Formats: sequence, C-alpha cells, structure tokens
Amino acid sequence: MVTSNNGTHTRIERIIVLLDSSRAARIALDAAAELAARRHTRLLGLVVESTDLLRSASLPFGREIGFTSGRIRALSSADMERRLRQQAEEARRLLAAAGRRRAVEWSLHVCRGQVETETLAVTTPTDLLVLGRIDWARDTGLRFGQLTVRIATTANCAVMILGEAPQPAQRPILVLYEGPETGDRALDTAALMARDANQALTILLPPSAETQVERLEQTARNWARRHKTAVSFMRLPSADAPILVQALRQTGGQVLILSRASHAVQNPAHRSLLDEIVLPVVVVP
Amino acid sequence: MVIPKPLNPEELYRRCDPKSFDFETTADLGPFNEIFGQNRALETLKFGTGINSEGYNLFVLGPPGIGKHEVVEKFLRARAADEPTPPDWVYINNFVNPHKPRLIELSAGRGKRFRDDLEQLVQELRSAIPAIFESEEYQSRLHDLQQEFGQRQQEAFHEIQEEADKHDIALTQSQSGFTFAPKRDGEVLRLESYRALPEEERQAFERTIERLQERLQQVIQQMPRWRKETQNRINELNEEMALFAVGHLLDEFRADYQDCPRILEHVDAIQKDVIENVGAFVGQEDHNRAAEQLLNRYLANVLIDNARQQGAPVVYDDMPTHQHLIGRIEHHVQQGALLTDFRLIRPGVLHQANGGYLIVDVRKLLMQPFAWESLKRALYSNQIKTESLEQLYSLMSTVSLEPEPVPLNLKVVLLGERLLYYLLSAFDPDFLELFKVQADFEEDVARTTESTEHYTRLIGTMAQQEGLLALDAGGVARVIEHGSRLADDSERLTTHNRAIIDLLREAHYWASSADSDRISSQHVQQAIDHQIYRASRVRESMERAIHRGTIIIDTQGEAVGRVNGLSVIQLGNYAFGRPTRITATARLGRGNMVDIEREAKLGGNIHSKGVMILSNFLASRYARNRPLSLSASLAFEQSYGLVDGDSASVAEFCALISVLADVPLKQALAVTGSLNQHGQVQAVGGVNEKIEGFFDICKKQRLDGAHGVLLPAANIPHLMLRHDVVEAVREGHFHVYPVSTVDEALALMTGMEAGERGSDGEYPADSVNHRVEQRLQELAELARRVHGNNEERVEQRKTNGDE
Repeated sequence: MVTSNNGTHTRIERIIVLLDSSRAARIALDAAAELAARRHTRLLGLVVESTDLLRSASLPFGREIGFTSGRIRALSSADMERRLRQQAEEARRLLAAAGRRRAVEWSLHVCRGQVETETLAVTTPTDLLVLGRIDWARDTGLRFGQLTVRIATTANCAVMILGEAPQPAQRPILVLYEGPETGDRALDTAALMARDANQALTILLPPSAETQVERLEQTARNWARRHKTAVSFMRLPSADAPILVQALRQTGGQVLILSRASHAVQNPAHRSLLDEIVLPVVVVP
Repeated sequence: MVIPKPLNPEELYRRCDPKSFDFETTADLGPFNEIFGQNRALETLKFGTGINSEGYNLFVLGPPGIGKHEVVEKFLRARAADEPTPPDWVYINNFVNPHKPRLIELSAGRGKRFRDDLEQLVQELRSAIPAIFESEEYQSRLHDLQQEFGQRQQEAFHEIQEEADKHDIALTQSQSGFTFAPKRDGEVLRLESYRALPEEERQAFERTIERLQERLQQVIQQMPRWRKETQNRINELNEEMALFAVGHLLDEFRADYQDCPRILEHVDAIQKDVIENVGAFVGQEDHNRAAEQLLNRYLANVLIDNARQQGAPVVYDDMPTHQHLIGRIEHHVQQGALLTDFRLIRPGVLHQANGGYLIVDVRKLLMQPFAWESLKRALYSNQIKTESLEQLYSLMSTVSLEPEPVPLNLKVVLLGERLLYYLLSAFDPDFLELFKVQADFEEDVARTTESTEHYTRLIGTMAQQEGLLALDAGGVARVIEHGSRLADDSERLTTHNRAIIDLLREAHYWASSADSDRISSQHVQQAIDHQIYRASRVRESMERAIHRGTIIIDTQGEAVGRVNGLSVIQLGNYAFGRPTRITATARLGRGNMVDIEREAKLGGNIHSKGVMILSNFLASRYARNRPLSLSASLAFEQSYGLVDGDSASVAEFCALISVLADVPLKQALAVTGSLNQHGQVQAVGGVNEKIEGFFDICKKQRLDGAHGVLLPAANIPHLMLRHDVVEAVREGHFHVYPVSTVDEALALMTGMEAGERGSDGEYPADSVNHRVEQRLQELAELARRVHGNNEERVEQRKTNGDE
C-alpha cells in the first residue's frame, strides 16, 4: 500500500476485466490474470449483455451490417440471446483457464444493461479495471474508441487499456508526470506496479520551459526520496504526438501510467498519443 | 667355328672415371636448372601448350618416380609466368530467378574490389535507410497519410452517427456488425414501446433506418478501397524516401562500374529491391533480421580472386573428386531445412586453373567416382557447371542452385602410366578427342660425355635442393655408374629422378653417420648395398636352400640333359637372379615336344613360343628330309610358380641336344639367351641380375675358375655387373662368355666341337651335331620299323576278317 500526498491510499485489491468475445478481450484477460497473480488479488470477469442490442434485435426490421463485409443480415432476438449465452459461456471458460494457469482466485459477473453504466457500477476505488480496446473503434480505424475513453475518464478506479499484443515483461514501467496536483497518484500507482513487476520506474517529463521541467523533475525526485523509490527520468522531446510516440517506442516500456487529468486524456487533440502507443496505458483517477 | 673368348673385366662394367671431373665437390658446380633428358617430352609440352585448338590437352606418360610432375610443373610455371593473368569471377544474386545466380567477369583484382564496394554500399544502406525512415519528415508525412485515412473513415461514420442521432436512431455495435434502432433518452426502444408508436412514425423510422443501413454499407464497402489508396500513397512516399536514401550511393557505384553492364543491372535491381522492401528496413528486431536477409542479397561472392596471381595459374589437384573439380554448393541448416544461396557457391580446381593449367594424376582421377566424366563434360562444353552429384542424378531434392556456368579456357595436363594411356585410348572414345597430345617421358638417355656432365650437375643440384652433403668426384662417379645399372645399360643413364634422389638421401645418411663432410663413393656404395640388403630376405632364403641342397643346382661336374638356366625374380622394386635347373628327356615318338611348364599351366605364352621355336629349329636342322621321330620333354625343375619369357630357350636347347647326343654339359656354367629359328642367340633382359645370381651361388660353393655364364653377345652393352663379380673375372675365377649362336653355346657347354655341315651336307664325325643327327636317324629308323610292323598287323587282321 502506498500513501499519497493527499492522504488517500493507492491500493489495488481486485482486478476486473471486461470481457466480450473479441480478441482484444482475450489479451486483456491474460494481462489481468497476470496482474492478479502478481498482486495476489482476486480476478473478476465482467460480461455485460447489452440491452440496446437485445432490443435492436427484437424489432421487426432488426438488421445487422457486417463489420468487414458491409453485408446486411436479418437479426432476431433468438439469435442475439444465443450469441450472448455463448459469449458468457466462452468468458467463463477463458476465465477458468486463465485462473488455473496463473493460480488466481476468479469469479464471473454477468449482467444486462448498458456496458458503460454496468461497468462503472461494478468498480470500486481499489479496483484496477482492465479493458481491451473495445467497441468498433479498432475496426474502423478509430483506435481509441469513445466508449473506452468514457469509461477511462469516468471510472472511480484505475483503468488499464491494452493494445493489440502484450509487451515483454522485462521492461521499465513508464509514468507521465505533469505535476503533483495530477501526477502523484499516477506515481503511486506506477511505483506499485513497478514493485509488483520488479522493474525500474522511468518518469517521463512532458516538454515545457526549461525551468518548469527542472521544477517538475525536482518534485518527482522529492516524491521518490519520500517513497524510497529508485527512478530515472526521460524528457520528452516534443508535445507533437508522432514524436512522442516515437520516443516512447524507443524507450521500450512495459506499461505507461498517466493521470486522468493529463492533457493526453483530457484533450481530444492529444488522444492520438494513446491511439498510437502500442504499449498498455493505465489511466488513474 | 671359333669358340667365344670370355669377356674382359672392362667389358663387364663401364666405369666412370672420377679423374675426368675437375671439381672437388658438387658444391663447386653451378646449378642445373634444365630438365634432363626429356627433350621429346619438353618439345611436346611446348607444342601442346602452344596450340590453341580444341581438344589439345596433354597426357604425360611415364612410369612413377621419373619426375613427370616436377618436370611438367616446372615447365608450366615458367610458361605461365609470361601469360596474361585470367579475370576474376564473381557470383551475384539474381533478383528475378534467385536459384540462378548471375556471373560477372572482371579484370584480375577487380572482383575483390567490387565485393568490398558492395559491402561498403550495404553498410551505408544499413544505416542510411533506417535513418531516412525514422526521420521526423518521414514519420510526420506517414502520420499525415494515416491520419487522413482515419479522418476519412471517422468523418464517414460520424456523418452517419450524426444523422442517426438527428432522427433519434441509435447505432449499436454487436459482435460482428452494427445495428440501427430507434431510441428514446439514450436507450433503444423496447418492442412494445415501438409498437405503440403511430404507424406513420414507425414507417418514418424504418425508412430512415433503411437509408442509414445502406449508407453505412457503402461506407464499409468503400473502406478497403480507401485503405488501398492510402497504402499506395504510403508506398509512393516510401519509394521517394528510399530513393533519396540510396540514390546518391547507387549513383556513385554506377559511375565506378560504367564499363560493366551486368553490374549496372545489379545496381538497378538493388534500387528496385530496396524500394519494394522498405518495410523490412524500418523497425526493430524482427525487422533487422529481415533487413539483413535482404541486404545479404546485394553482396557478391568472389568465386575466383586473381588479385595476387602473376601470369596464368598452374594448379595441381591431388584429390580430383567431382566436387574438387567443378566446385560445390554448400547448404546451411535453418529450422531443419537445408538452404543455400549464391554466397555458398564454392570454386573447384577447374575454376582456379581457368585461364591457365590444371595438372591431375590420371590414376587418382579415374579412382574418384564421376570425376572423369565431369572433367570430360567440362572440356567438351568449355564451361564449368557447378552441380552437386545428388542434383545431377536427382538423388535428393533439396533446394539448390543452378549458377550460370563459367566459361572454361584451360589446358588439362594428365600425368599417368603408359598402360593407363593405352587403356583409355582403347576403351574411351572421348579420350583421344580431348587429349590429343601425348608427352612420353624417356626412361633413360645416352651416356655421353655431354650427358655425363649434365648428370653431374643434376646430381649436385639435387643434393643442394634436398639440403644434402655435397658429393665428391668419386661419389658422383659411383652415382653415374649406378644410373647406368638402373637403366640396365652401360651406355645409358636412367632418368628416374626419384631413384637417384633416394640414393643421394641414403648416401647422405651414411656419410653423416660417418661424420664425413661430403658424400664419397664409399657412402654411395654403402647406400646401394644397404638397399640390396634390406630387400634381400627372399633372395638369401633361396640361396640358402640351394646351398643346403633343398633346391638342386649343380655347379661342378658334367651331366647329360641338365643345364643351369637363369631367371629373374622381381619383388617390388628389387630384382635378383636365380639359377634354375632345366632338364630334358627324349625318346621315340612322333615329333612332339612336351613343355611340362605349359602342360602344368605354369608356363606363359612367351615361354611356350620359345619352346615351339626350339622344336621347329631342331626339326629343320636335324630332320629336314625325314620325320622327327622324337618325343621330348623339357622342365624347369623345382619351379612351382609361373614361368614366362623365352630367355631360357638356349638353355633348353642345350639340354635337349645333350640328351640326344648323349653328351654331358658342364654344370659350372649357366646359360641365358633366347633362340630364333635359325639358331641365333638373341638378347634377353635382366642379364646383370642373372649373372650375379649364378655368381653368388658358385661363390658359396667355391669358385674354381671353371664357373661362368653364357649370355647373348647382344647383351654385352647391358652389362654393369657388381664389383665383386668383375673382380672375380679379373682374377680368372669366373667367366662371362658372349655367344651369338647355339653352336657356340654347345661348344662351350660340352667342350666338344658343335660341328658345321661340310660340302657333303654332313656334320663332321664326333661333333655334337653329328651325334644328334645320328641319333635322330636311329629314332626315325626305329619308328619306321615299329610303324611298319604295326601296319602289317593291321593288314593281317583285315584279311582274317577280324575287323
């Protein structure tokens, strides 16, 4: 447990993974199980059966337009019910396999409703919610979908968003530090994950005026001294998203942690940073 | 008839007088750099190497140890030094057909430079390409293109999304697609609520949803095209950047190799390849491996580098296998599969000798499977096609290459024994087509003043080159004398260099053992004696058997129908003479001569021929006008192996005459020589060994002045007898008689006159021949009587009706 500046405790006592039948969800499940094993915490699989979909399918003119082919197909309630059942069964099977493989305690929660609402309802501040890059965004070229961003920016817990493939474990934990107001909790979470993963912690300092960057670095050093944590620093060369992405790629981290208040999350123009990064991102409240 | 006189000691051995030399040791002599005694072979080599027509390759014939290899190599190296240095040959990747690597010819030394330049180019590409593709400019432009694509899709979706929102329609994602449905307060309407809507509203929803579905369908179906368009633009960008990255490097390369169209084509292919495979150069890890694989294809494999070659190459292949000749294609194992590429083509000796000369031992060549055929194939086609045997004979189906053949222009010089030349000529129709020039090595040269002087210098040069002690005049003289003995001719000198060098080495050993600072005649003699001693176990064993009477050889007294013949036994490179008792019997018969050796299948064809000549000579000389009513037999006593050659025919004749004339033969004499149908004695081989063999036996049983050997007069020039034999002759203890006719031999062997027919056609009474004729007449008369009685008995039986 890490105590932050403002006295709140940064704890991760449960890992929740949002499951559907996509490949991204499987990758998310694997990463979640790994985290749960490292933390010795419980793993909760969450399957939300979308009521919007069920209702759409029940309408007499219910149709489905294929993701890739664009073909228009008839859709019925029975079809949808069957698919959702299969989805839940598949989720249970995958969870059981992951739990057995990592030797973690797991459970599955299946509910009906809207994905965002039901997900947020399940989480508590000491959870870490793990998401694949869900919704249709990936398939249509919008890499960081609206639903994912909405959950990441409104959840009451830390949210980890995974890319297409897990990163090698033997790499440092990266944390974007933009000041004590928004960054301390990110630092706490990063320190926790670095300790769990037994990896170094690299603090990324965003581009800014020289004095400001130095001040930021000093603040981070003070934090590190207080928490007796070894850190290294890397100054990002530019605020321009492609350059940042390039710099992060060269750094070769295992996971990037940033605050919900960070520009990269708040400013839609900077969200491409998240889109481009292939490494997992943890957004902390 | 004059009975031959024994030969003088001077006629038995041709000495070389050390006093005729004007040096103290051979160290005082200048080097002898010429090739001794092989003028014919050298002329042939000059002709064979000078003529440029097809098929004029050479076959150098001669026995082992004569120095063929040294002579040929020395000659070729001298000749090749003045000839142009052949070009370098380089293999490069074929970008169109990678399994058919391309060949480039470059002037000597340029091949390596070309390879180094390519390595330098690849090194520069290795850094220049990623640098360009990791540059801010490229990343930024790539990002723009990708953004543009994303933006295009996003806008298309957003438009649909917005229109849907405008009409209170929700766009929801399922596992495999999208659905549209009417919504209220952010949620899709339940079926009951929907049904509760007015008909008009429901129809409006349905129409709108149908339109939205079609639009979404159009958008989705357009996406592959947009993606392709974007990819094309990315490719264009890549080409532009790649060209910028490598263009100037390749232009420099082009400028350096303007004169070589194949290299320019290769450079163009590299440029095209870089552009097509830009993706492999950008990124990390996996990309690096892929990039290295690509870059390796741009390199060159210098098959033949003649940078250090001065003149044409002269190559000797001591292991002429198929692969050694035409090269090989190596493979490396990758994930259990055997893979290869142009860099793994390795040259053979044909490549190395191309433009020059290749020397091969024909025996070794013929002993290697497929090598002879491969060499012929290359010479016929004038090109070297590197193929593995398994590929050639479809034995294995691994990934392999078919490199462009290398044009072949060289002279092959085969070295081998005469027999192999004659066998190949007889049995391989291609052989004389491809090896039109035969260079036949002399085995000996005339022993003249001039050749002796050359031989002297040659001996000195050999000793110096071998790091041996120098020879004094006596030593040289003894070596020269031995050279004549090795040639089996007092008037010739051997050209078997190996035998002479071995003798010098061994003489050096004995001289060094005696702490001498030079090799003198006693050391040479010691070397010769020791050579004989080392090989003499069998000879001594046979001598012992004769001495103990196990093998019966009489060397004293006289005997009828028995004569000492002489044979030579060759064991390895050592030959020695051995006396053999030849016996004859005769009785009444019908003119048949039984050659017991032949009947027992122990006689060779030449021996049989000798006996037949003997038989006919006997009949024509003594029974011209009547039947030869004789049955005689001839045998080599205590001979249990094959007997061949006709050198015993004079001895056989003497034994037979002895029986017929009932005249004893002197057992102190031995006879060698072959007989012709006119009674002349003809030369035979191995006379020195034969005389020495009989001498050794007689010496053991004490020489008493009666001992000696009869040999054909024509063999006198071949005599180079051992020193102790010559000394025994000088002291009158042993004699060597030259004979020209059988009558001379008979006179010597019997001590009686052989006899010549007088004007009356009769032999003188009491001559050997007269006795023979008398005896044959008696036998004929006897035969007539016996046959006459037999005929009478037959007639009587017929009359009595007994038949």
